[in-house]
Amino acid sequence: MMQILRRVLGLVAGTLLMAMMLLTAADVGGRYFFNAPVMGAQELTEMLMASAMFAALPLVTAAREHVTVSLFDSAFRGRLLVVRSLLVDLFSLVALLAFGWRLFAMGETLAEYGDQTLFLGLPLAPVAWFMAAMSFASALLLVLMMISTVRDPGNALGRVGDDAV
Amino acid sequence: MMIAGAFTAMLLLLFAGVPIGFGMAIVGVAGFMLISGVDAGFAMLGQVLFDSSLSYELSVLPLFILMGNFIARSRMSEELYVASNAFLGHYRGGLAMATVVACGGFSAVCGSSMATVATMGKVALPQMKRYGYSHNLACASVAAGGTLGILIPPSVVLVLYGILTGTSIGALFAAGMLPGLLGIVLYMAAVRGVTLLDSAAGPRGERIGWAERWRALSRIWAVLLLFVLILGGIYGGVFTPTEAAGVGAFGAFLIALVRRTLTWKLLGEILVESSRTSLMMMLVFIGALLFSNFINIARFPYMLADMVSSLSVSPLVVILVLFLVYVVLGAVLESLSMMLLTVPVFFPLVTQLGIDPVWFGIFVVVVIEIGLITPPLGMNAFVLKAVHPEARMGGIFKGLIPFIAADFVRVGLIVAFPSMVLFLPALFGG
Repeated sequence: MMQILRRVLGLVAGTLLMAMMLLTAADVGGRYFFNAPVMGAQELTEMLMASAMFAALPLVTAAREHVTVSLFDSAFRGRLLVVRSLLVDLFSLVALLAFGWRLFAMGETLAEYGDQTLFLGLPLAPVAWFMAAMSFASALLLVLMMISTVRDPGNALGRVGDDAV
Repeated sequence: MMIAGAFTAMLLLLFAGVPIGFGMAIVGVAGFMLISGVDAGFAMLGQVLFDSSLSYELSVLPLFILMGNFIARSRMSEELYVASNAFLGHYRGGLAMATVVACGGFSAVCGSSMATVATMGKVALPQMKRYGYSHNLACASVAAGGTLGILIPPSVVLVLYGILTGTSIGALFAAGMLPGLLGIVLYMAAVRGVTLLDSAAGPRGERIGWAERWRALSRIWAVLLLFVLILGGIYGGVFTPTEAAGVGAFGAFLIALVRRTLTWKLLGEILVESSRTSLMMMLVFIGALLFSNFINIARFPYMLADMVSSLSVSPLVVILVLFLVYVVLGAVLESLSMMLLTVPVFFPLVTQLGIDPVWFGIFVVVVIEIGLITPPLGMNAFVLKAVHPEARMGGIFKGLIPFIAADFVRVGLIVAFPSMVLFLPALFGG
């Protein structure tokens, strides 16, 4: 299950990033050589980026790859490490839930006013909803990680699905 | 008072190990709520999250990282080293100088000091060992060399500084060029100094003939081409610095194709790894924006600016104090986070004193580079140790002392001769 999720999200994030790159190249190339830029390239780039980045959020969260200060890591051992691991995850969880909630609300507002992109008239709400969904998915993964920390304290600060790799 | 509480709360969160982006976001939003109310705080959170994720300017971040990963995985490191070695290897300490130059070139297009240390270390360390170079000099030249590329354009850190402060990215890139080259020259001088004191530390290599030198040089066409393509495109007005990232990534992709180093599997790995790394950086950036919204509405940077102006000390003293602050912070914080955290605080102060925003960006990046190689955190030393477990931590840091001294000289020169930074931006018309 975890394995499939990882594959799918990786595929989504990677494909969108590749598309971003090709889009800019096509836009600049088209403009320079043929005087024909890609219509709405800028807004497409923006939507692609937001989606690609947030598709990677569950991947980074599950792998505990977020940028942290590791200076005092060795100061925590045994029970203290477990407590710390749970506290740290709790703060991350609060942040992710707030992200998801606010992005979902953002999507609602955008949908209500029918906000669209300038050139191509693409609706913006689905992008916000996708970002919200990815935040909630990351929050869910984090809860699973906390449960596994409680169940198996030796595994504090472990990652989800490590066994699946 | 509240600001002091906020900074304390944030440092506690970060040192406990809360991801930096989340820690800054939590303190930033909570502080904002204390001043303007809960609803305003939540509204601000949603707006900043959505707007910055969909910001066109920020698209340089994933695309430059993608370019760097294409370069890092296309095995160009070896050829760069061979080429610089062909020109420098026969001098005393020449292999270490070649390491510095190759690291500078590699990290300029790759953009990541960690990737540079990891990849160049693999190539350069065995060579230096073979020629009997001292452990300390060999390790230090790789760890220090890895810091060079942060400043040499295209530079992700400079792009983020530009977005954060509204400073022209084109001007920042132009401004980074001379100080970046100066860094290479000073590091070579550091190597020279070490070998003057202890000639056994860096024996001469074989002299290589000119025919061989040109052949070695011709093999690094790809890196040179990419560099020229990006900078030429920006300053020739063909594309904007934002678009340069996409063009550069595409160029690196084509180079990887031509060199036949790319498989479908590798392409997938590079793409996923790039999006993950970009997200990590973007979260820190978003956290920093949320936090700076809070300290701005609390008017902290302006109070700081007013307070310092009321002391009527010279800008030079302020810069000196900031330098010390950064050196201390560099001992505990990772480089990008340090920049994103401090610039919103210091920027109003600096501009009020009449210090050029472009100059200050370069100053901050140079000072941050020092943090990458100073104990106890010196990230590059740890990366080197992680890739080469047989390296000795104490030895690496000892070997780095002359390089840190070179960096101090560079900061001094940048402060003494601001025109060294501002000359090229003025020439290119920013």
